[in-house]
Amino acid sequence: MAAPVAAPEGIRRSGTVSRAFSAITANPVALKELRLRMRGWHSAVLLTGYLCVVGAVGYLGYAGIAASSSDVVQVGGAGSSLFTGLAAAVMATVALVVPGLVAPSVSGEREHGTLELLLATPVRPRGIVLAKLVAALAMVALLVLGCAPLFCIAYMLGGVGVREVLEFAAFLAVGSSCLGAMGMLASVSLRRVAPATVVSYLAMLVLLAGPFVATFAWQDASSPESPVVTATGVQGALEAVSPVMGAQALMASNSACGVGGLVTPLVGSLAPGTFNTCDGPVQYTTDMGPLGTWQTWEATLAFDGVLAIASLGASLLVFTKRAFP
Amino acid sequence: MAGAPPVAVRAQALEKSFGAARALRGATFEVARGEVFGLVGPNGAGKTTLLMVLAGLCRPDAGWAEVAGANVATEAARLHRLVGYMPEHFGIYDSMTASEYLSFYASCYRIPRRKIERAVGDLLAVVGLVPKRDTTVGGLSRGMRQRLCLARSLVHDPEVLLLDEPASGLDPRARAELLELVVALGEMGKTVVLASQILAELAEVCTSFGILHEGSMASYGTAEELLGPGADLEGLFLCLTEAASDQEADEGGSAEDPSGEPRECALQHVGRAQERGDLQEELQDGNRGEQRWRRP
Repeated sequence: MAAPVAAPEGIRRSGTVSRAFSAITANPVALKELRLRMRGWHSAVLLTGYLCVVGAVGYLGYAGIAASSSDVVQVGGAGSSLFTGLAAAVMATVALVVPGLVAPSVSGEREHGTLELLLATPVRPRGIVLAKLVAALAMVALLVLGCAPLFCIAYMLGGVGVREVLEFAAFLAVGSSCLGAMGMLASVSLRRVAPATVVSYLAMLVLLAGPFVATFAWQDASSPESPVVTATGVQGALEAVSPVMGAQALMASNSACGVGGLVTPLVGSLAPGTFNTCDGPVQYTTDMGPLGTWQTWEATLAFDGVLAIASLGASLLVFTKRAFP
Repeated sequence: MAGAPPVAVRAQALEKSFGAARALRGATFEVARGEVFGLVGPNGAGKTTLLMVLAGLCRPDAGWAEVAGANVATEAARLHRLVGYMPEHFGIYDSMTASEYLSFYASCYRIPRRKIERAVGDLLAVVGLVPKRDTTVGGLSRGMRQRLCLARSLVHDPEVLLLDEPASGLDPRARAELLELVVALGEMGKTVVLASQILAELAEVCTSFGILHEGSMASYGTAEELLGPGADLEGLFLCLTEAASDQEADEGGSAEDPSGEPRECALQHVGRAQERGDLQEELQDGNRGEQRWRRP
């Protein structure tokens, strides 16, 4: 009898991905969420407004570049700056959108009296929570993918590689998941949509602004002269838990101008001739003690991942306990 | 016992509290398979809590219950496949069409996709909503929504239906149509537990009744067992609930009027000399909660 032959690694992987995709698409609650979200006028307004904001940033940045320089090398660096500016705009708007998408998901079902009917079906409580979160994050993915043509402009200008794109995508995915999981915890814990939404936005504000503001208390006021800046102690910890600092570090490592990549092209568009290239990328790192020294954005990514898992676990626990009193 | 109809719903000493409020206090009853069981009780009697416990949406603090052979506390997944539940107040997804609404719940019950379309068509025909299949649920009248929700509770062809005030808030015509549906379901062999405060409509539809008062089943049985010739459900209900309240006030004392006279109202409504003695005895023994009267 012939021994079973293991499937090649690529096939196994694609099978796993296929099963995961099937699990999502086979969940009727996730499909229902996606359909109902797209049917309301809210989604059209959200998508249009979001693309207008990011498109305006992209247009002004590109116009600034075009008006200020014809130098090929400079424009190549500007591609990187445009990418950074667009990435910052996308991350900021996604942070504003995610709590609003996730917070009403379970609390809304409860408020409208549809949750009881869902719970009376064989769909398990954890299936409901996961489906709602996946549907909300799928909406975020749609928003991000809607900006793809703008990112293509930056890519074609040069100065942006696949690695930068993947790093940005990973940072955005984990950050969105973290905010989404926190919003889900509020949604399963509170019975009404309005309090759940307020608490979700407060949690987002605390996560984004808290460590960022606190970092200034420990920050060295001088500009970095070295291309590698390592934060230690309390400042290192604060930077590791601050998504804003993590995003800044990610942009600084990829762009000649860091966060200035957003500002510089905009200034250039408003005042042609003032566009300048920057000194070069800066690597922000964080001393993680026994874990060694990490890139700051990697440390933030890890922290956001842990926070997302913890929030999701708490959401599942709370909802499962409350589903059947 | 040979020849006895199989039991579809069986509850024994169910207890449920929400904080300090005791919603169920030892409710015990049985419903035979194929019966349309009318669950009667005043506001706050515990009807909704009892139905939620039977639907597996609420765990009892004490006691046990089985619905279609599934234990409500330990076999929730199986129970949900065997039971159709329609709450009194339910939400809808306004932007779904009627057929999408049923299809969604059918997929929640993991009905194969190839069967869903046919099942949805059949259900819409049963509840008379075929012309509205592509109308958004938000655009349906209240009566139509109630019928659609009834169809939703049937989407997985359950053995037992638990309907909580299904006709509340409907105009007389819509109410009559909905109750006709319930009768038809009973004739199809479904076991239906129907909670309502409108006794007249229950008397028309149900084959057996249970009177729930302050979390206890004051009495239950078939229409013949509970109501003698010339008796009516409303009179029995008023008498039993009043007697039970007085007993509670007296902490188990005899069910007598303040004047000391026995509760003649109950006797009038049962109407037979034999039952006259049984009822009087049961009302006086202080064991309210698990009384069941049967004809000899």
